[in-house]
Amino acid sequence: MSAPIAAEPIFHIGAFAITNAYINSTIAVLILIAIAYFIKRSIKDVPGRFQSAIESIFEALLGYFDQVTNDRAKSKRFLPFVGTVFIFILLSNWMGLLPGTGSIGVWEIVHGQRELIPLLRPANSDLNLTLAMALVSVITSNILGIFTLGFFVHANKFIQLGTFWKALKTMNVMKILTATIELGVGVIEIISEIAKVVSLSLRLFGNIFAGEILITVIASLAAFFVPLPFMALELIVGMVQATVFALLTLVYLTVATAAPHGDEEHEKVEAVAAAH
Amino acid sequence: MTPESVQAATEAAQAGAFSSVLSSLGVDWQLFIAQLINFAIVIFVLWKWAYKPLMIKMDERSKKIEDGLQFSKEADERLKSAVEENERIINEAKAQSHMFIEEARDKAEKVRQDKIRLTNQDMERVIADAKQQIEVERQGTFTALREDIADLVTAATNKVAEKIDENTKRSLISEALREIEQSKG
Repeated sequence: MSAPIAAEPIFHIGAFAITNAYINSTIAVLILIAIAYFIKRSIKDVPGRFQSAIESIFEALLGYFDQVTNDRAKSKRFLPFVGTVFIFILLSNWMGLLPGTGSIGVWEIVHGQRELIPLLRPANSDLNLTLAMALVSVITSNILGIFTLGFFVHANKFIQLGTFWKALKTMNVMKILTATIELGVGVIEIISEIAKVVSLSLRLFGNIFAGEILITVIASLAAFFVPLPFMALELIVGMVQATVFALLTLVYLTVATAAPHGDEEHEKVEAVAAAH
Repeated sequence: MTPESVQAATEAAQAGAFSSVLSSLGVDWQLFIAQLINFAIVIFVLWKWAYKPLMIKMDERSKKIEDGLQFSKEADERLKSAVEENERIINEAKAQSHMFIEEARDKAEKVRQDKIRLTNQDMERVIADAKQQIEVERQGTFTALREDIADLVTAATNKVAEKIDENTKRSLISEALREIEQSKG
């Protein structure tokens, strides 16, 4: 009865298999495109009720973002990306709770067993989508880091040869030792970038996939009323996971565009040393 | 675990550790790229149609409101200074008009005093003239009267003298003259 980890293909276009999760994500995309088009059409100098609502959502998001970025300009810069991540994940998650998702399907023989292949499946219960979003988030944060700080400053976070070279020039044994350790820290930073992708994608995927299985199982045990509390719980989970993904993305973007902490400290130390 | 995922896992175990994990979790590069494109479309479209124009509008509006507030503040200040200027002009005009009135009053007073003085002088002169004329007339009347009286007395004495002798005449006349002189003096 439980769904497989991988999304099931419903039909094929050439060699490309259209899966049920992909159908869901495409529907979400179309809904968001429609909303975006409606927003674009309805924008006026004097906002109507709809535009005011959207604007107040923006303002609220910017207010939250400011708490992370401490900078309104940065918040405004990150809003399109992080806001879209949040809205897309939220919409996908909640769409997965609509009746019919996971329950309407076609019976097919899979590996000798007769199984119900649902036509719709929560978009984020497909690791392909969550992995794609996580990769885009982390890569975007690194690209923004390069654009904001410059390539070498950003690269020095991971391969700290610049720091090492500075330490070598001072001929100070302690500094060289610290720089050698920081070379190792840079390697850990590289691993942490990969870990970001893995944790972002698997967290979202796991939560939504588990929620889908939970609801399917509960609904197969008792069809009426019993699943309702679980549905409510899944509404909250969908919201929380969207928030977590978006906030972590925002944190990654903020950290990547902030000047490296070590550099400032070194400069301060050097300035103090020069003053004496 | 479904038979499918078990099978996928066993298949992947032969292919290699990394790709085995991925494929057992359902990662498929075609689907991955398809989902990536979906996500990119959402971001692009929302950015292009929703965030960007709305942000521009919101910024424009807050700038307009700021400008409007600034403008109204300036207008307030200008109004205030205009009112002050008005008051100043009115006050000045009041002070000036007061001054004019005072001046006019002073002038009128002076003219009146002059007139009074001139009239008084005229009157005094007229009175003096009249007095003088009365005196002259009185003198004339008095002289004529005396002549008349002298004539009358002469005539009367002539009538009386015809009846008395010459000596008596003379003493009487001189006596009479003396008495007249005395009464006159």
